[in-house]
Amino acid sequence: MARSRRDALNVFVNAPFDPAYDPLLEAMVFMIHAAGFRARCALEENDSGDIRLDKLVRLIDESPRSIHDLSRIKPVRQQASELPRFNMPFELGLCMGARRFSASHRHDKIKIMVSEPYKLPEYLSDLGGNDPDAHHENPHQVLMIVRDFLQTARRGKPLPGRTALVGAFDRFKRAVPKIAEGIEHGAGEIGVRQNFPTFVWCLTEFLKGAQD
Amino acid sequence: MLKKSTNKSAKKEANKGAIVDAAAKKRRALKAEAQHFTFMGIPVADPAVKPRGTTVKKIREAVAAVRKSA
Repeated sequence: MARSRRDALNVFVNAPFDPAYDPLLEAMVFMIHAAGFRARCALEENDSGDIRLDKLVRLIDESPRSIHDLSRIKPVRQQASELPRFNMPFELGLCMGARRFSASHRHDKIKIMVSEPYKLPEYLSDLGGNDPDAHHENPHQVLMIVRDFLQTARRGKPLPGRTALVGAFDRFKRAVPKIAEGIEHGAGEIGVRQNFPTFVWCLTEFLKGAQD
Repeated sequence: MLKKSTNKSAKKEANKGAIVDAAAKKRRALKAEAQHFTFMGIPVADPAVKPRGTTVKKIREAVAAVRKSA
């Protein structure tokens, strides 16, 4: 069942992994799978023996598309110092580098998201020519941004509209506690961050045969 | 002798038709089954890794139970 090859359906997710971001991450992963793709991120493996950078390189290599949320690049108040989080720009840099230096990644697609519009040039001027989408910390807005990104790459049946997607997403959120109970887990135990593999399996099974 | 050969080729034609029908029937069954693996007509891709702390079978049963109760 585990795949280790490049697959046109893989979408690498580069986003903050913290409790405050969970609603947005749920929306992102939901939309990726609802569009017929497969979300890949560092949360899918729990192997302490796997060096983090090697895992990221492998995920990026296997994913022709990637979504990067840079909205958390701001100082984090800590006891000793205020340090912004650099992992997201670093992983974006890996994807950008792969696209420029690797023939097999030349046609990879990259989507950048921020919280507020026009914020990117302030802290990442090298990407001043890019045009990120702003989600305003709204999960439904994340759904639409990801939908529009994947829609342009998809051939065949067009993706559903906002009303249908938001409705399905909200229904899934309500179903998660009941599904968790059915597999003898607490509602918080199969969260997108707490148990990503089980979360996406619950999501895909929910989507299969879901009615309008 | 001619009759035997005619019967043989007729039998062959009849079998060929039966094989084609069976293949078409199987394709229709698979297509009908695939409809259950779509979301609003879009095929849903299985995740890349196995679930953690449970099985796919249990998840399917739990989701089916939730869908039934809805």
